[in-house]
Amino acid sequence: MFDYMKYMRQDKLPLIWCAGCGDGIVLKSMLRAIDKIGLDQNEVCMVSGIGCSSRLTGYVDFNTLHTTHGRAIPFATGVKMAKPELTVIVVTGDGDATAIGGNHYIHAARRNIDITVILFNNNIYGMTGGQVSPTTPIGKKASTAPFGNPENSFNISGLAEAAGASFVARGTVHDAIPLEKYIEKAIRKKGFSVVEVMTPCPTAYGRRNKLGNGAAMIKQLKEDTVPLSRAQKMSDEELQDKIITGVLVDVERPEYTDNYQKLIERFKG
Amino acid sequence: MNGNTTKNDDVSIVLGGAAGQGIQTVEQLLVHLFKASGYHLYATKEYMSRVRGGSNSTELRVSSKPVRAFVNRMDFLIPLDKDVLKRLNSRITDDTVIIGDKKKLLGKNGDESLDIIDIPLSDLSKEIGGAIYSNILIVGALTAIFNIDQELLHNQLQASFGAKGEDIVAKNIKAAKIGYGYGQELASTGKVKVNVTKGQKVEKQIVIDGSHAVGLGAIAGGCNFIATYPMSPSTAVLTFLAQQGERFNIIAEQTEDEIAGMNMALGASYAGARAMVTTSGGGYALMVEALSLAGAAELPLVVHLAQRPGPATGLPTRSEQGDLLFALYSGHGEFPRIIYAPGSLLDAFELSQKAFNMAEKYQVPVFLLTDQYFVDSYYNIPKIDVSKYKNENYIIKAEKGYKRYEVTENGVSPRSIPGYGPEVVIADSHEHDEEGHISEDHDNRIRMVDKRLRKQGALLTDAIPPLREGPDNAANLVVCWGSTYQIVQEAINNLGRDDVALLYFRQVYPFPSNTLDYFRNAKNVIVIENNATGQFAQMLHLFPHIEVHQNILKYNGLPFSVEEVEKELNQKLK
Ligand SMILES: Cc1ncc(C[n+]2csc(CCOP(=O)(O)OP(=O)(O)O)c2C)c(N)n1
Ligand code: SF4
Repeated sequence: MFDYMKYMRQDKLPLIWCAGCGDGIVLKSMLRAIDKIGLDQNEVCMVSGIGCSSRLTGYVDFNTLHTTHGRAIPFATGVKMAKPELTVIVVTGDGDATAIGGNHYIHAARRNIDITVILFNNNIYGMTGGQVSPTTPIGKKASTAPFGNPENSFNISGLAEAAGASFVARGTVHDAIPLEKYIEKAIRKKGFSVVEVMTPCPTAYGRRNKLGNGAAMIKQLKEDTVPLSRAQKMSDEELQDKIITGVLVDVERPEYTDNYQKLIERFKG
Repeated sequence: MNGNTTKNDDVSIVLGGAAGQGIQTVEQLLVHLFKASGYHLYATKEYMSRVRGGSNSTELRVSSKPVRAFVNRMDFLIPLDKDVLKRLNSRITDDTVIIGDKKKLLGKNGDESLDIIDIPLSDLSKEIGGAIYSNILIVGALTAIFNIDQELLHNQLQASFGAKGEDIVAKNIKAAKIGYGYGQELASTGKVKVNVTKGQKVEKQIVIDGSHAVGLGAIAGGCNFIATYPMSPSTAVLTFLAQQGERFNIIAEQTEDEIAGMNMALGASYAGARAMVTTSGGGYALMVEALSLAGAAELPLVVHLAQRPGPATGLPTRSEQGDLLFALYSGHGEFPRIIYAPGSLLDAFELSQKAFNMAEKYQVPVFLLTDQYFVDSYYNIPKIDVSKYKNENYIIKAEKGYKRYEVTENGVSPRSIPGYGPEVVIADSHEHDEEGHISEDHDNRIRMVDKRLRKQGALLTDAIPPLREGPDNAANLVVCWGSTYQIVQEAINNLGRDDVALLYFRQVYPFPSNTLDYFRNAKNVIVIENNATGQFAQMLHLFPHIEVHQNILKYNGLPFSVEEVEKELNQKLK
C-alpha cells in the first residue's frame, strides 16, 4: 500500500471536498507521481489559486503557497525564476486558470517556463456554488446560466498547445493509473507542462444538470473517453462531446529560466 | 435549564450543522411558514468557506413585533451535530433550550451538564428513509411549539418537494407529522412554551434578503445590464438578475474576470444601458482601473460592493465594513462619485433604485456598499409600491454640433448615446476637449478637471441626509453607517435612556452640506463600525471636521450583536 500520509499534513484532515468529488483522486495520483520521481518534499513548491481544487495545497506537506484567485501561475513563475532548482507545481481549477487567470495561463505557455500545471477541470465553479466556467459545455445549466449556458466553451488543452506549452496531457479521474503517468511525465518535462484532469463535481454541477452522483459521473467519464490513438481515426462529428485523453503534446522547446541563465552568462562574458 | 421554559414574545432559534446537512432547507421552510402564519421574523446566517462539512448556523427570530437585527441570545438551539455545541458553546446559557438527538450529540464523552430535550432524529429519520428527514422532523416539532397550521406546513412541503415525486412528498409529510407529535408533547406538557402572537397583516407582507432588496431596487431603477464575475458574498445579485432577465429585459453576463465585467458594463453604459456590477473587495480591486475610465469618460455606472474581510482572500464568507475608504479613494486621478450604504432592506431597495438615477443624472459611478451580514439577512417588510419610484431619462438626442463634454455651469454635460441623433458620440480615456477628442492643451485640462469636479458639488443637491433618532439635545450621539444600523437601533432602544441619540448615515459620501448641524449638541460622539481602523470616523474627521470621541469597532469577521453593542455603549455613554 502506498503511504499517502507521508505527504499529508495530517492535522489538517479531513479534506473539505464533498463525497463523490473527484479531486481526491487527482491528489492521490499526484502524490504517487511525485513519490516515483523521488523528489524530496522540500524540493517541491506547490502553488494554488482559489477554488475547491486549489484548497489542495492546505493539506500536502510541501512548500505551499495559496495565492489569490487566478494568480497561481504568475506567482509560481516568480518562484521559479528566483529559485530555478525548485520543482514548481501549480494546482488550479478551470475557472482559476482559464477564466480569471486565462491571460497568465497562455503567457506562461508562451514563455515556456518550467512549471507543471495540474488543472482540475470540473466544468464549473465549485467553491462558489456552481456558476458557469469557460469549460461549461454549451446548454448546460449553472446558477448564473439558469436557462442553459449560451456560450461556447474552451478546449483548454488546445489552448496550452497553441500558446506554446512543451507538454500537454489530458486524463480523467476514472483512469487514475494513466493519470499518474501523465503527471509524472509532466513534472519530469523541462518546460511548461499542463495536465488537464476531467473530474466530477456532483454538488455544484452534477445535481443541477441531473448527472447523478460522483460515481455515476465518473462512469460517464469512462463512457465519454476516447484515447488519442483511437481519436486520430475518428471524425470531428464522432468526437463531439468526447474526451480525448493521452499525451497530446510532447515537444522540445527552449525553456525560459534556461534562456535567462544563458543571457546572464553572456553578459558575465 | 430546568426543563420548564416559558419564552417571551421574541424568540431566537439557532439551527446549526455542517454544510450539506440541509439547514438551508429548514431555514427556507421556517421563514415561509412563520411569515405565512403571521409572525414577524428575521433570519441571518453565518457559514464557513466550504461546500461540505464545517460548522454553520442560521438564526431565526420569531416575534410579535418587527425584528431586524442579530442577537447573540439563543432561546432555542437545534444542533444537528456535536460540532455545533462546541462552536456555539459561548452562546449557550441556562435559558437556552437545546433540542436534538441526545445520543448523537452527547456521544460517549459528551458534556453531561448540557440538558438536551431529546428527539431521536437519527433513528426516526432512518425509519422514514434517510438522515435528511431529520430536518423535517425539526420543522414539524417547531411548528407544534409555535402553533403553526399543519395544513400550511403540508402544502408547503408539497410545493417544495413536489418536483421530486409523490413518494418523497409523502415521506416528508410523515416526518413532519412525527416531528409535530414530539413538539406537541413538549408544548402541551408545558416543557417548552412560547408567547409569540401574530402581527398585523404580516402574512400579506414580503420576506426578502439584502441581495434581493438590492436586485429589486436595480430592476426598479431600470437596470438592464449586469456584467460581473462571481464573488461571495455579492453573487446573489447577479444570480437574481440572471433569473429575472427574461421578465425584465436584463442582460446578465458572467465574464471571464472582474476586469472584463466592469469594462463590459461601461461599454453598455456608453451605449445607453443602465449598467451595474456586483462584486466584493478582491474583485473590485480588479475593477478599479475601469472605475477611473468611468471617471474620465463620465459614464454612469452602479457598483454593488458587498464587503467581506480582507486583505486578499481574507475570510470569504464573513462580514466586515472594511472597504469604505477603498471605495472612496479607488481609481487613479480625481473625479466625483457617490457612495450609499443601506442599513435596512427598504433603504437597500430605495438606494439601489436611486443609484441608477443619480448615476445617469450626474454621469458618475455610484456605489452601494453592503456586506455579507447585510446581503444574507432577511425579514418581513410591507409590499413595496413600485409605482412610487420614478425613473428620469437624462439622455438627449445628439443634434448637429452636439458636444459630449460641453462645459456647463454645474459640470454636467448633456449626454447622448451612439446612434441617437445625427451627431456622433465620442468617449476617450485621455484628457479630451468638449467634443471628446484627445487634447494636451493645459488650459483645456484645467477646464475639464474643473468641469468634472463641479459635479461633486452639484450632486449635493440630491444628497440624502443622515437619519437621526432620539432626543434633540441628547449629549450622547451614537453614529453608524450601513449594515449596523438596525443592530445599533435595537441596542439603543433596549437601553431606554433619554440622553442618547442615534445618527445613521446611508449616504456616506459626499457628506450633505448640513452634516455639522446634526452634531451640534453632542458632547460624546461614538462611532460604531465593523472594521479595525474606524474608517467612517476618519471620514467624519476629514470632511465635515467632526470630533469623534470614541469608537466601537469589531473585526473578527462577524457582525455586531445587539447585546454586544449594548454592553459597549454601557461602558462608553456619558
Ligand atoms: C478576484 C476574485 N474574484 C472572485 C473570487 C471568488 N471565487 C473564488 S473560487 C472561484 C471559482 C472557482 O472555480 P474553479 O477555479 O473552477 O475551481 P473549483 O472550485 O471548481 O475547483 C471564484 C469565482 C475570488 N476569490 N477572487
Ligand atoms: S463543490 Fe464540487 S468541486 Fe467542490 S468539493 Fe464539492 S464536489 Fe468537489
